[in-house]
Amino acid sequence: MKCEEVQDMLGTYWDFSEDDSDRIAVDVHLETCSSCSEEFNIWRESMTLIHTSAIRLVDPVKTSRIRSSVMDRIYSDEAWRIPIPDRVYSISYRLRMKMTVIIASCLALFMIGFIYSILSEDSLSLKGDNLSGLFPAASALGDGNIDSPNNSGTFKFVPVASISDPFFLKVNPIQSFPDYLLAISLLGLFCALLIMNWLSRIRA
Amino acid sequence: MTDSQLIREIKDGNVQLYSELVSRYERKILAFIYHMLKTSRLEAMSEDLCQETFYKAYRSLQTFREVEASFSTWLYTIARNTVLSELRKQKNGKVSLEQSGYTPQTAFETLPEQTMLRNEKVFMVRDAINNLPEKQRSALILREYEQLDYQEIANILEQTVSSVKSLLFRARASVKTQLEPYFLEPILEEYEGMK
Repeated sequence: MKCEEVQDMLGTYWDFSEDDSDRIAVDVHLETCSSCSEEFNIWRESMTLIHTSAIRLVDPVKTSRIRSSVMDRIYSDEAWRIPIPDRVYSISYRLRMKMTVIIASCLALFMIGFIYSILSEDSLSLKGDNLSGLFPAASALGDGNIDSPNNSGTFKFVPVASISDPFFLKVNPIQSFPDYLLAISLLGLFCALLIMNWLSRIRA
Repeated sequence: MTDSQLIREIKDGNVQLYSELVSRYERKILAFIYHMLKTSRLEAMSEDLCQETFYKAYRSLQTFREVEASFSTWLYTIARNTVLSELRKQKNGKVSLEQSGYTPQTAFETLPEQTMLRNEKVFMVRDAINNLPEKQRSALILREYEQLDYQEIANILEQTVSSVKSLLFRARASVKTQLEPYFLEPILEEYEGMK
């Protein structure tokens, strides 16, 4: 390789990979040519200076500030894109406090009602079969024949159009104070949460 | 999650994920903007420009086609255009780094003597780079500081790969010529001794 060729390649030499044939040819030439070697040293020094003057950013606060600024700007343009959990903060502090008090009261009411109902369970000792208001009128357990009336004047077995055992719906009416507490507290809780959700959507 | 997946999700309306995308590139883009700005009163401005870059990228995300360029290349293009536009507006590109009192942090130890020498060196190199024509300057910064390859630089500068090679050659030769007088000065000898 001639000196002129080497001089022309010194500007791009730094981009060649270690095993590049051009780079190897330049290296071989530099070993034998002192003038090219001297020129190469100046190039190398210049390149080293450029590399060592690179700015290193070490402040993570700056970058997190940039990130949050970008997201704030996007959300200010497109408010409907704000995630639901963040939208809660668009509700005023006083209103949030009021809603928190209501929710806490409902929870307290629920706990009181729950504990009270457990403690008073024995005293109530309600029998579901009697309270449901539904009584078995017929059963398909028999052999399918209609028996003759028994002594009391009623049929012992009455065939019905069913392939399974009769199902008795056991629905107890709300009949105690703790049950009312539980129902009201749950209703209040759901209403408070729904209102919070609604407010966060319309105020975002 | 890859950049492509993130971008697809964001385009589908999951905007929260854009924060993740920003966090992947903010340091690189901020460093690039620092290097591109000629003056340093602009330290605060570099953050604003970085923010502006990501905001513009978000606004144009629907038009971004990954087959044409990678997301990082696309971001660098936006960042460069943003900086150039700002520099045109400011028209104060001739304020030197020394006048501004700016002391950028490099990857060196920070003993007082070293700090002084480093600052001298940084000002010297930054001056040499700032004197380059715009395209050469951009090509050099993207190659030497951002470590991008020829193809990526070509995409950002909208040039061919051979043009980029030519730009880099001329930029390096010009910087070398400008720095050459300093190579024999004691400041650099001292600096080399400290290394």
